[in-house]
Amino acid sequence: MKINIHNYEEYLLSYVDHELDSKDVQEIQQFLKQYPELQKELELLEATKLSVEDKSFFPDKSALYKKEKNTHSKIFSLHFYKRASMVAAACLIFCLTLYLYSQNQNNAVHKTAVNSDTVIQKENPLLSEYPSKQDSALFKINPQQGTAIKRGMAFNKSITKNNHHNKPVREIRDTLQDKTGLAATSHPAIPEVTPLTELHVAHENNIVKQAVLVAKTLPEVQPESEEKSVHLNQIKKDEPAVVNKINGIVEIAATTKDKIHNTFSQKITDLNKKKDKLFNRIAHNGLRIGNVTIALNE
Amino acid sequence: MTEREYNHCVDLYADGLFRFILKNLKHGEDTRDIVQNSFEALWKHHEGLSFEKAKSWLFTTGYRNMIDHLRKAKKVLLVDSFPENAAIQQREPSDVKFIIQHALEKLSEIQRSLIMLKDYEGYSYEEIGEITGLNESQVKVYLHRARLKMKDYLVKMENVL
Repeated sequence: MKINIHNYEEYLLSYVDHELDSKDVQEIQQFLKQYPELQKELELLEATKLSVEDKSFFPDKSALYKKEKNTHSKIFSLHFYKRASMVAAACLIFCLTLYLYSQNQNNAVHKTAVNSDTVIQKENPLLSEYPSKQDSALFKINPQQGTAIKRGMAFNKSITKNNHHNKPVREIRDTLQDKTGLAATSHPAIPEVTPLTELHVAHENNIVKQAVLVAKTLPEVQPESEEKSVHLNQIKKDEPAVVNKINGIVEIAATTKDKIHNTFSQKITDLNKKKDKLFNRIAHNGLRIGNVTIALNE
Repeated sequence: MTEREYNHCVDLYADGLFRFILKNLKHGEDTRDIVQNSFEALWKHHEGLSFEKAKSWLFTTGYRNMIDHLRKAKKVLLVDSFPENAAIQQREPSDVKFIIQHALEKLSEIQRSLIMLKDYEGYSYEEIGEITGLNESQVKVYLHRARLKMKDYLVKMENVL
């Protein structure tokens, strides 16, 4: 045992200060058992320890609290959010226009194009001013052909059997019914479709044009004051990585903007071509429904 | 260290530092100034300091400021013994805590600081050495000597009864 009656005091003091390792702690405890009269000395030393009951408090802590000044990081984050929100807006517009476009195109491409202002009016109240004389102009029926229809089998039966694009057929049927006074039984299995018209395309064009316009006019982020521009220059110096990142994001936004513009310009042109082709064909050949051909020329 | 961590340091350590310095200076306004200056300095360096190091940094700065203050005021007593005129009869002498507080006041600034850093803040000899600029064995010797003086004073006062 290294602790003895001559050196115990130092160990006892270190024991009071909790500075002994576990081995020494065991040794001093054993030593105290051998010399119970030293227990009193230990108690006295323990009594010299200050208790943490002192209730002194710093009087005004609020004077010590600090807040970061409006420094680079704040300005940086402001610009970052501005730019990020623009990118988000551009993406949103892109998705929206794409959705609208694809919806209209689906209807237009997969179904037979037929002019019917009543249907458009039903589906889009905005187009209600569409002149109703369009109807009579496009649907003037040759009286001979009208007889042909009369001569043929029951009109409804033939068209429902041979044509699966039923909605336009139904519309024509209704129109014909109005014009010719022919009686026709309605077929419950005829589904609803949206026919393509010039106005419809024009409406679609408007949406896309607006979207492109918004994308084009997305504002560039410019420093609003000299002070901010000084801050920006400081950021450029201090945080080149962050500045590069921001530039990257801005580049992506610009590219996305151009892409939206190009894609939709192309799509509009394609759509217009298709529409013209279809109208020309109908105007030239008439509308063929099953075994029946309707000439749309006067 | 972030702004938030710094403000957390204020919550955690302002009272302890205030108490530590007040015991030595016994002057509330001066103590307040020193604590405030120490926190100002901490804020100035907060970006380069970790939260874990902040407490000992604060106490080191506070301790140095306090010693400077005492030196300027020529109040540093390097006398390593009790003055004989220990007049504490005006209080209840059986109050051991009171006797201990009185004994503490009889110690030199350095001894008192070491005792307080040990008992109030729970620092190890090594940490106390870092704060006060002493080496570990000096801390141990000074602390043990201070503790024995306090014990002797306690025994003396008990015998007076």
